[in-house]
Amino acid sequence: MNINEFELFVLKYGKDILRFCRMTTGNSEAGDELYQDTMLKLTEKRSSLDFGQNVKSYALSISIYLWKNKSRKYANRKRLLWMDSIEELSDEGKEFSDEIQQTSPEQIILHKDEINEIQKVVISLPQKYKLPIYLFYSADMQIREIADILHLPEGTVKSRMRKAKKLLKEKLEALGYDG
Amino acid sequence: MTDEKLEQILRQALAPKIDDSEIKIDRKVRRKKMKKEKKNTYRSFPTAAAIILAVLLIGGGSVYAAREYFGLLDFSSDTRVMIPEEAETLIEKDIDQVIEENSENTIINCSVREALCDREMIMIVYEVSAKEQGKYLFIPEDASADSDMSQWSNISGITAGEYAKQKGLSIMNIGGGITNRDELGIIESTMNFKSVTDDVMSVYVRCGKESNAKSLNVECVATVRALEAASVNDVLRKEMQFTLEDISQAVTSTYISKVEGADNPGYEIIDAKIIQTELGTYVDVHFVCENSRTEGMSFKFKSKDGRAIETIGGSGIIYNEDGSCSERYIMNKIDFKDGFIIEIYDYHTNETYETVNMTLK
Repeated sequence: MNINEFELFVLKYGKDILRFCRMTTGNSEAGDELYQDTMLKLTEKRSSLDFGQNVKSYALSISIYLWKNKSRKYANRKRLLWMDSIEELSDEGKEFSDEIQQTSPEQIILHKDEINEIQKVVISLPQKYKLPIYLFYSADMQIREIADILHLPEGTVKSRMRKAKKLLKEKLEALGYDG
Repeated sequence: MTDEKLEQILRQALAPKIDDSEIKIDRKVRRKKMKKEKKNTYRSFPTAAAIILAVLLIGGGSVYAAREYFGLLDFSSDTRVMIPEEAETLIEKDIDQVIEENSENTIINCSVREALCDREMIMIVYEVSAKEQGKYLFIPEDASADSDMSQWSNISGITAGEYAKQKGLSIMNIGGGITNRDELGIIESTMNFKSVTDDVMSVYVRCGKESNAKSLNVECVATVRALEAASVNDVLRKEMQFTLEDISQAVTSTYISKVEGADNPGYEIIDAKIIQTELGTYVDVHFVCENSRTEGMSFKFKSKDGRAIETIGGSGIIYNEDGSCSERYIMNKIDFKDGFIIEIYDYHTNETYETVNMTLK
């Protein structure tokens, strides 16, 4: 992969990878750092990468590997409220607003604080459930690609995503968000 | 909350907009920071961990159960991939192999200890051992200092970092796998790890493959890197190459569908080809899907009497040139006899679309 191809890759997929890094680490600062570390490693391997290959999957694999190695350090830098339990939110009265704007029966628009709350709910999931969720929604990867990145059978990825969504639905409904 | 609402919520909350300026790579700052982070630091460990390790080491002997290595049958129970007794004759040991170092100063020795294949799958166990004993703690590729030792050894209640600090060892991540994936047509793979001692590790690799060659050239690699390695150049590699003969017998049968249930949701199973070997059962489901609406679609399998059949691997959906689709499922060996059941369902919602009885053609 030459420099131009690498720059094209960053333009095309950089946002997905950065988004994944921020979601996985739980805050923008740690996520930006993870993104930079990932891209640096990718830069070092640039000459041996083939632009036609799935470099995005490889980049996300690097992010996961780096994050697992450095998770202690990133946890110490978290600035968002770290929930020990979902009930903390309910106790503080932070239920979802009744003022959710619905432009149509099919479309929901979330407020910024609701987005933060939902992200915290996802963070509270066990690692094996939230990684596929982040890869699917934040990094826009397909199931087959997620299976490749996580070295899991596709069936396992599907099963974990189903379980993750079931847990998320229960937690969000418990907070009073019925959609 | 409906599934559609949850889907909307997750797409909004987990995919916020990002400005173009935020994805720029700042190489100089990152390089400086990564040089700083290369220093090995261990946090102070609670006294409990020291006590646990002292107890484990009482008697002066090894904390590991004495054994030469872990073989394919040893990994079988952990990975849910059973090796039937009739397939044990397919296991090759004392394998002739070529071992090459392609990094300078590699600190490891390695060798393939066992290998097994049938028409559809390869399993190997290779062993990685330190050239200089008593210096390193080997942990799996994806483990960290915070990982509990019980994940790959018979030592529990202590993390890799705590254990390494107590014994004065440097942590090294062990990895690798099969490298000539295209040549073998490898479609999916999994790995598992078991420690024989602190610095000897058995690595298990299982791959589904498409190559039906009777004589397979298998190339694999063992990798080792320090836990705090900052560059891919710090990964040391050693390659192993050997030939694996497929001596299995494969029997193929075809099952066709008889649809039960009311409305056709746009899916139709054309047939299912079953490949049986001594090792396992491989199901290729051939189907058509209206308007290519395959997103979320998956299959579950049941015996004729309704018992769920577990799958242990698969290929994902393959789109054929004639517009139909195929998907491969791998199972532990099972006899479908004259029929079985396929449920078509949505893996997001777990809603069953259709139940299809498959009968032997």
